[in-house]
Amino acid sequence: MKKKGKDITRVAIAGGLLAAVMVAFSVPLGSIPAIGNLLNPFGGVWNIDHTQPAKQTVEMPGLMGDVSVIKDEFGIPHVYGDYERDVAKVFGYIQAMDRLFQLEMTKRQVAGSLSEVVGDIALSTDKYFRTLGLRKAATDLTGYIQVNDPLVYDLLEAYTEGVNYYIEHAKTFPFEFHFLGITPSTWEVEDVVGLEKYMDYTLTFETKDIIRTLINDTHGDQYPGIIEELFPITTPFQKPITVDYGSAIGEHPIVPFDDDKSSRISALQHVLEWTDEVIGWEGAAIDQAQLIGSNNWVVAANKSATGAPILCNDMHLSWSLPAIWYEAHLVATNTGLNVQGFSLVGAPLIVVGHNENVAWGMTNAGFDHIDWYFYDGNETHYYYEPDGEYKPYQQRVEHIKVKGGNTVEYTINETIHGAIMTDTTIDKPLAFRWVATDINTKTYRAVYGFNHASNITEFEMALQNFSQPSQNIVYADKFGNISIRPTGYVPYREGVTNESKECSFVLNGSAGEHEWNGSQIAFDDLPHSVNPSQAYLVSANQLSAGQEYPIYLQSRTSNYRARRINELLAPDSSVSVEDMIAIQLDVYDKIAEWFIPLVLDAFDDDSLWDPGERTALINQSISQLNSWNNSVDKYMMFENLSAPTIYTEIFDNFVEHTFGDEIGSELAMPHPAILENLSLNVPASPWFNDTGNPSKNETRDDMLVMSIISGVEALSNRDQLTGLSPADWKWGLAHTVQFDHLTGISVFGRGPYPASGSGITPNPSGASLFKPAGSGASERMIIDFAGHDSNFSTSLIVIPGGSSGDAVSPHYDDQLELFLAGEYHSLYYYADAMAFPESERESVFTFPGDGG
Amino acid sequence: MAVTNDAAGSTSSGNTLQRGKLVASMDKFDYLWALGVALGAGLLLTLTGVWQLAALAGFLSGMLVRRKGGIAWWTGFLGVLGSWLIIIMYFIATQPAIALMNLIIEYLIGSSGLWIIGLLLTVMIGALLGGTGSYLGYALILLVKKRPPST
Repeated sequence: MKKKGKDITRVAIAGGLLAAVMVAFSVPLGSIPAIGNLLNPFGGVWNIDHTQPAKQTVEMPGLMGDVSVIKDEFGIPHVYGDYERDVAKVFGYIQAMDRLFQLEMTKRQVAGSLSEVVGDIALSTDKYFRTLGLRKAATDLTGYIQVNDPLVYDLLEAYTEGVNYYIEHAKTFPFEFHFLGITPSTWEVEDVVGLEKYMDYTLTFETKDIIRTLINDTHGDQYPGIIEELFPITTPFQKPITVDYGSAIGEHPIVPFDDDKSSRISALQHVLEWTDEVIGWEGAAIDQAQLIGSNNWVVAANKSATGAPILCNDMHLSWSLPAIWYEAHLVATNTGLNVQGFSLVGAPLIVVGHNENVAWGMTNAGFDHIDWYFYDGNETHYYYEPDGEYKPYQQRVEHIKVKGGNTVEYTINETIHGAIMTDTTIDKPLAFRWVATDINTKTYRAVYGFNHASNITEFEMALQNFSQPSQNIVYADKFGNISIRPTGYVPYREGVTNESKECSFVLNGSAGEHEWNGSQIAFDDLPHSVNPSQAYLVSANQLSAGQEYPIYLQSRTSNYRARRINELLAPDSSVSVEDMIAIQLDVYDKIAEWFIPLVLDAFDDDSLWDPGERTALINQSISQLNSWNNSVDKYMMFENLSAPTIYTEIFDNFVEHTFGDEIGSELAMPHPAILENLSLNVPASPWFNDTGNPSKNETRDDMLVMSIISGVEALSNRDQLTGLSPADWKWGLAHTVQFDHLTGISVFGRGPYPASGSGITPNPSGASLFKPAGSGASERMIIDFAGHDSNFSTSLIVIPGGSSGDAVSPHYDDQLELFLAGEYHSLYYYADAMAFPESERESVFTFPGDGG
Repeated sequence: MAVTNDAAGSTSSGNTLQRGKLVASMDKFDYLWALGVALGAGLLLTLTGVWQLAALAGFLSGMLVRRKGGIAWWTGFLGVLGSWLIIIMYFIATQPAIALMNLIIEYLIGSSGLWIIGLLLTVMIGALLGGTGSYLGYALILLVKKRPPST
């Protein structure tokens, strides 16, 4: 019995040991996944299929005809088929092969189901997106497209079939799935439609009305002109996008409502805080916090050195690896499709690009697609004056699965306008009404039309369907036409005028203030320019149209990039492709242009300085600015210069000293063009007065002196500059660019790299000093129609990344190297697969047809 | 018939003899048999993609060990380690597996170029599963095996 007992003990010990080993390797440690799953020799990261054979045949059922895919030396697919549906289906397969994890994450962000794969860290984000209702809107829109646009629905469905076939037959999945311990989920047409909703969110969901209202509520009594003077929608010195509506004008007085401000402040703050939390979360597929705009422009044949229109576009979005864009070339014989350019990962169309006849590019138009409303009411009802009654909130119940936890039931309350973004028990709960979730957008139909357009008439017909997100769409064709159209669905609001812009504040929802009347600004009433006499057109998110345009459109306008690009193009009567490259890479800083002379003048004015105040360090710093101001590199933000570092720090201090005492720096600072206007035209403005020093009325020059002193001191205290003299405070030390992987895992990202440029240069990279910039040009495209009959051989293109999402593929970042060096690649635009030179083929996939 | 009987008897006794030799061989070289089973079963079971089954490979090998528990431990340990190593070597030879492992190890420990740590960590997981599984198999056999009555 003693022996038996010993045996039992031995078994128990062995069993316990085995259980302990299994548990130890099965449990995730913080952000580190279960090590057993990860390192599993056959089911883990050792066994991931990274290879793409030079020739491969894929037996995918349901293809009417044969399809072949040629990948060029950058791994970019050129898909050739007899039928467009087949091409869309194979494109889904190929995109899934290259970007499967990106597909999964984008889809989950739209659906608000990230918690299911990453746990409760994403719960707040999921609740946010479910409150916005992107997935619900996508489902509704899918039904609409299925009924009203069967052709487009068929293409979207074919694409999902291709994605799903890849998922079902893939030998292995990318390493990110092993990290998260998940497998890819099946794609539905709703997911493709959801991608449009996600771009709507990225480009048009904004809280500017809330910020303006909050500033007015908290500072308006003390500074009655604060909104008109510091936060106008139209910033000064505008050069409008369209050229036939007069010049730009200043802001008209705005009359905000005067009801009880204090009671709604907590609701406003709640929405802003929640939004900041979501867009700042590093797990978000796109970091909206760093979005900074886009550029596009076109020159006509009579201004082009090549004798044909040249169209350029660089859309500025958050950088990521893999890149947001996926280059592709789609050819279908049955519909004459032969389109090339940038597709989004998750959709079968080319969003920006060209075909044999036309080219187009986009920048964000900044149209006002959203209004915010507050209400009187109680926990269950809100008052709605037009109906003269308290109405119950409509409730939408969502169930959010959470990894490692229970399913969370989440109830969203909705008013007649839209979803409540606060608790209904709060004073003045806040809801929004947003075009993206309010109407059946026809954007896919529009982009389908762009892909197939053969002339400006067909392109304009397609444009009429472009609803969301509003874009400035620049156009050129081989016939010599150029045009630009700020385009999108802008709702008519009752009683809103372009002069007063009444809906630029949070509205009184209970009073039914400025309701949308169900119609939109007609396409023909939107501003546009076609073949202008100036022979060029530019958009860089600035004002759409000048003073003669009567209708309220925009809720935000950018400024400096448009001014600089206009200045470069206007005097040039013979613009070449090389000139276009120079503009896309231009790092001239328009703020430095007006600010540096003021700084140097203030430094030289002895009456502004106390004895001994101009220290050796300040003298050395100003000397750098002086040299810059007198050099050929004047105001160029080159990484190897020190003056840009000194200028930027002094300017940041100038903004803080000027406005920080009145409005703080937590909510928002006025646009730099506001400060430019005050500095150049109102140097004794009360905004320059330091309210903390009642003994003196400070002016602009006092602020400049304060900024020089505090700016130089701040730089001298920077850890990164320790031991260096001002001559060595190189911009590349203070300004870097970084390309994060979608998971945020640093080893799969790239950078930081020292970089030229700033947040307002035509080649932009936005960030604070000493914090890597995570956004800028997400693609660069130059389409020269002089080469349209030779496969667009003189056109150029590049993305900051590559075609593959596989971190160990050469195509993960092969174009990033070009991008950082300011280089491009050519297009490989062959209308027929047989014409594609063998020497330019990296791999070939054959998909035999089976008659469908 | 006699021939047949004789032959049958001869075959039967031959089989018995061979079985006896086999048993003797298994007794003598039990650790080698166990090692082979751990290696073979380790290969087969790991190819299912369920890494925990490496313990089963070890368990099977441990059941064959007639000597001390330490021998059982080491046969399972080394057998599964070997099987995992073979599989990984195949992927290293056919895929850029080292490049990816370099990145993963850099993420986990912060130093670059140390894919070998990933390899060692991986085979140690298999080895520990094989070793503990084998020891469990050995212990269970001891428990259920009929023992001579105590005197």
